[in-house]
Amino acid sequence: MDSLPVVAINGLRFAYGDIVAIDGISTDVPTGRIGLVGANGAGKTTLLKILLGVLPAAAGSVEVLGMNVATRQLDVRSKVGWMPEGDCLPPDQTAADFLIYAAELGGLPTRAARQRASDVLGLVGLHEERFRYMGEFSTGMKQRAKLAQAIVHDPALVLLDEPTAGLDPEGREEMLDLIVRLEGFGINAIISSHVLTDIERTCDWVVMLDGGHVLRSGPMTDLSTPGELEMEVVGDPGPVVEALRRLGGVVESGGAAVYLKLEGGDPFMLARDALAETGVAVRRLGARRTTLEDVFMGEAP
Amino acid sequence: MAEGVVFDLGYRPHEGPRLGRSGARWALYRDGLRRVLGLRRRMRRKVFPLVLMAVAVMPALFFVGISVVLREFDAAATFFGHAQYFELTGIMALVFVALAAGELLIPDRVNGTLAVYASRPLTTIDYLLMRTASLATVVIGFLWLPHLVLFLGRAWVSGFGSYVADNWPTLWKTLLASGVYFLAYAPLALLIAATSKRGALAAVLFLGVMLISGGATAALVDSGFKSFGLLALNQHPGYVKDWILGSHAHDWIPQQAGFEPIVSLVVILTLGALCGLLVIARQKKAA
Amino acid sequence: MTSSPATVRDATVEVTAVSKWFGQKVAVSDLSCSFGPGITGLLGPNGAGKTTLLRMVCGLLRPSDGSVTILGVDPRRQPSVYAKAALVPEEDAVYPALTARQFVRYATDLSGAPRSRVDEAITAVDLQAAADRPIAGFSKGMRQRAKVAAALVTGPDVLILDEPLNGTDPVQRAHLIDIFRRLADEGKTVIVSSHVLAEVERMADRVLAVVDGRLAAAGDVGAIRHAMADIPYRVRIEVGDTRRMAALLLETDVVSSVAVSGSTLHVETSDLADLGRLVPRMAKQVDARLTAFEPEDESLESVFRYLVHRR
Repeated sequence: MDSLPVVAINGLRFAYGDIVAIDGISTDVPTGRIGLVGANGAGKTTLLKILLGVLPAAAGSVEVLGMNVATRQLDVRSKVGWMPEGDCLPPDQTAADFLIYAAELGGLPTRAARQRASDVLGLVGLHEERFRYMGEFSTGMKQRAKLAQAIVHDPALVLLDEPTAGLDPEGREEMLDLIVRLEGFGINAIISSHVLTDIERTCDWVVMLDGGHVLRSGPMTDLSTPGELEMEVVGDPGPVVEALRRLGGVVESGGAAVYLKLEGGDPFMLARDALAETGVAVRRLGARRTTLEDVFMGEAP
Repeated sequence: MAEGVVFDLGYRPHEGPRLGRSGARWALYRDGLRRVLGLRRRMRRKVFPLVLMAVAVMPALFFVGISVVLREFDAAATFFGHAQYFELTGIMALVFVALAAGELLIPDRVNGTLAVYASRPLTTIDYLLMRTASLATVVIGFLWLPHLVLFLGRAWVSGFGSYVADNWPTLWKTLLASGVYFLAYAPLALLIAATSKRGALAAVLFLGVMLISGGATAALVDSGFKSFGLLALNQHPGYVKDWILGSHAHDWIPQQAGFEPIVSLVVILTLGALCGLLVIARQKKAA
Repeated sequence: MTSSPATVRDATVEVTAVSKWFGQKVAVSDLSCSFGPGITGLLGPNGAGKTTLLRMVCGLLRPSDGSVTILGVDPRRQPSVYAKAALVPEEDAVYPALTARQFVRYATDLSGAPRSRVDEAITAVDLQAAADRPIAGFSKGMRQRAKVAAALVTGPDVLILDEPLNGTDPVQRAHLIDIFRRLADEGKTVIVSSHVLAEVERMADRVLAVVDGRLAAAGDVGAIRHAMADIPYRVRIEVGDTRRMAALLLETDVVSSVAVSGSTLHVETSDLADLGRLVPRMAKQVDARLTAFEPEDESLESVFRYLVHRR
């Protein structure tokens, strides 16, 4: 990690009465877009609430943007935005009105707040609807308004809890695009989601929680297996597999996919040669990747 | 040669000042005022508070008008003295507080807007303090405004300077009395609002408690159970008000029960503090 | 009904030229399709008529035009066929204070089904261990299973699930999909309406897409993509010596466009198989290292996007 971590957690513990929700977590979270995944009840929302200071840590320390949450809670909150999972928009206010209020609450002077509200609503694609009452908004519009209120006070970090919940595929696309653009605005993001494909698409780093522990915390690229290749071909893979083996490769097949390893050599050159030789058409070829789901299922009880 | 330029309409970060907690509190306070007065909301929400305020000030304007027209002023003959005025506005304050308390605390909780506050530099206490301050501003404002009008009207008619010199304590006394009414009504209304899901329900519950306490304790005190006089919740502010203004507008139940006005004041303050603490506890759980 | 990917041979549910309007608004317009044993995915943007179609299939709404039959019978004319099709709605219509078993028993009593079904239903969804715990303490995935169990008590042949995977984590999701698979293998018609396309792609045997109240596509996802002949496939190719590869590709007529970006080529082609045959050979020819060949728009997500934006 070359720059300061966005969040630094040390020995964190939290319990709801008897139920231990977080059981001794220590990890550093880098800048950029970070995915937070875990089974329901694994401690994701609890962790987010602790980062905001809504819940107090029972033990351990948490630093957000270099500030200790326990001692500088309000300073932290000035720099953090939150897009909650549930409803949070008053139905009897217009989007513009509420966004201005949200910006002022974040400490912006009124004139700047007005400017930011308008800018941010344009950014999330609600510019035309900004003078309509939010009670009339569709789910997609509400989600965008929620994201808008999370970034309107120009935070350095936003916490997004299930940002694509209830969105249809097009809405999901748009929301994920917006999230990816956040980095360009200088806003880091921690995204908590069940939809692992969303996380794979937007995040560079993943923190996986299970039963209040951190299962793994590392870059998404760590998920590919170095030196191993996977591919699918059109039609019968038999001739290609045979060619690969003949040329010295170690081949494993799983369903339609063929996995190739080569000791002390380059599997990609081998695959290329085998395909060229047999004249078989390749359907798909790339470094062997484990999906987040594979990791998740493999490690979950 | 023709020239052209394209501007970058990308994201502009906020480089200006950040007001932190005080800015947030101020925004919360202003939002509270707007909620209570129905501003920037749909039309129908404005109607009730404005009507109430108009009704509150109307008699004062009316009597001032009459005095000005008749060009004379006889304190004894004036139908409505400062103390009596509170009898009218006191009831309106009761109804207003019942509805406004709900409007201040319930929507945020029910709509989930508390989550927005959670990512802003505000504590639960900040939130409650500012909401209470908004309510206080409006309620004390409209309780006191007619008195100011009445005072100025009389002053005009009776030779401004001398009237003011002789009677200026009336101003702070009526202000103080307005404050007492607020302290007698608001904490309980806020507590009920903090625990209800529907504004109408909270208002009805609050009004019920206040009015019934008056009726029930009257009967009990008459039957000889003097100590119940302490529970006449809607009577205490009036009793204290009379004490402050040195008047006797009504036969207050606590008075009948033999309690001194200071006791009423103590009851108001104690109940207020208790409700305050409970509201804080309840609100923290809701966050 | 003429044969097409929109229909199946052993149909249990037949939708024939169905339209539904609410005042001026046409929610479903002249839609014909059928459902049969197995898992069918039903997709569509919000407000596109998908939910209206589902409600008509269950008999909760009457078509303004056309007909819906379940096992050959119109559910609105013969209410007894209601028992044959069960809807597991999106909303949480469960009573938190009841235990799972009590909830399922309640559903049994409401529909007049025999009490013996309660245990069968609970076993079918793997809730035996938690059957006597109150639903209030259930996770999202377990609640979904309880809802499915309640739907199963009437012994339906058709099970309709509206957004069943909402809010479930991957483990719960896999479990639920297993249950749907099992039910489908038993010969039930399982219709799943969902926005999480990656999941639909994995579990559905076939998909139906409803856009703007009409049937936009039906059948196997790959075949649907192939049927969009006017939209060339986009493929990402990572290879050393991109420019020489680009030049070679452009000399053939397999590609319609090539875009170069660093060590990546984005290629458009109408013949994926031909391209797949040529690329390794060309890479060998120029002695370049081929590290990726990835079709970018074959997934259900891409197909869906094209369907929505086509009209």
